[in-house]
Amino acid sequence: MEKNKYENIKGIKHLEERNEIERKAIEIAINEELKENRKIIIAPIGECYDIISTKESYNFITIKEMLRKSQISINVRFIKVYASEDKIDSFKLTRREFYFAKTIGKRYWIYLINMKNKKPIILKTRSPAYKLKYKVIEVSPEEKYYLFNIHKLLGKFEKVEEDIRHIEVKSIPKILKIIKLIEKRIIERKAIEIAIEEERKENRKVIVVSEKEHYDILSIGNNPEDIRYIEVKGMSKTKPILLKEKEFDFGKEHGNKYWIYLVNIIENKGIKIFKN
Amino acid sequence: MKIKELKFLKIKDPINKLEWKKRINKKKEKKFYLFNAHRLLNNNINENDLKIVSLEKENIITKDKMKEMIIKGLNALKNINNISKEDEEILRELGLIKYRSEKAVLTHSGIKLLKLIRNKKRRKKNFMNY
Repeated sequence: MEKNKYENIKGIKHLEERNEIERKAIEIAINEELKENRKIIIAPIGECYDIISTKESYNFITIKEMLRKSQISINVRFIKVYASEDKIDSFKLTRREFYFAKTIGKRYWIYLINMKNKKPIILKTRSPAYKLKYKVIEVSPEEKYYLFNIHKLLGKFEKVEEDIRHIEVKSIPKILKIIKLIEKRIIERKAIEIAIEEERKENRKVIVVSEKEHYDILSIGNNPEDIRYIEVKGMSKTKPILLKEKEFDFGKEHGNKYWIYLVNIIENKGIKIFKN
Repeated sequence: MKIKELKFLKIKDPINKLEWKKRINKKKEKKFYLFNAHRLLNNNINENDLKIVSLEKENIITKDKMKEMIIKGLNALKNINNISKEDEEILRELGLIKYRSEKAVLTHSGIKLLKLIRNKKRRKKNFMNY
């Protein structure tokens, strides 16, 4: 570590007690905090946290005193760092750590650091005891630990993690929901593009009306009575085709003039259901 | 008619020709109609009512490509105040911005996503129980 840069860090001697991976991870976490101009105290081994990050400068002893009196400011972060050279699927808290996390609530942060790549991936969680799902695992009546499985939350996020490093874990499920919607929209838009191309190949006039009407494309042939009301459905998986009530009624009303175009534009290994 | 591969199907008069299942969402009080593509195999649908068009390779999207687009879009969204025209185009493609009287404005999902990325503080709750 450069000495000048970390001049203001208290308890730097505790860093030497750690093993190499932990030391590296803590350094990464400290750098993250320093970006926000925060002051750092490194905690000794055996505490429920590795780093304390504050806006104002405090001593370790004053922080302990404040904790005892329950007068700790919301701006203080107690950070536990988990590091791994592989992908992190889960992390666990001991009983003591878990109850500490519960008592200080939002002030408890967990940084998961994956150091596999050159550019480490950091994921931050705040108040994990309240925000994340966990399993209680009893080793013995006296010894328990709390397992937080983040695999399910992050399964889809491997690549995104690298680029958006500062997303908190708690908001990822919501982001995933919106991303699914976006994916759907990409597929739908592409499907409409393809449908338009296909119609133009047949020398038909095409008007996109998806925002105004209950169908997507109005296609008119050479004969003005030759009209097609086209509903385009993009399919990413083998999910059933879904029509809303109004779309369904519209289709029923227009009978032969109503068409559904199913476009499967996502490259998959093959659609099983159609194998004979 | 047997279908081996589903690429691009044009179905004429699907409502009357296919069997649809009705579903009701009780919470939202909405009706939906479902049709499972499995059933196309067994349905007595005429060749006149069903056309299969194979897609050109250029038109196929891979999942990686889609992910790449989304990542670019999310990064552009992060720096929404200072974006290039390329980024603007990506955001438009993703449906995160739209144009209202030639001005680019965030759509509803764009605003939602931006809030999540910036991690705006929500209403304060009492987590302190000690």
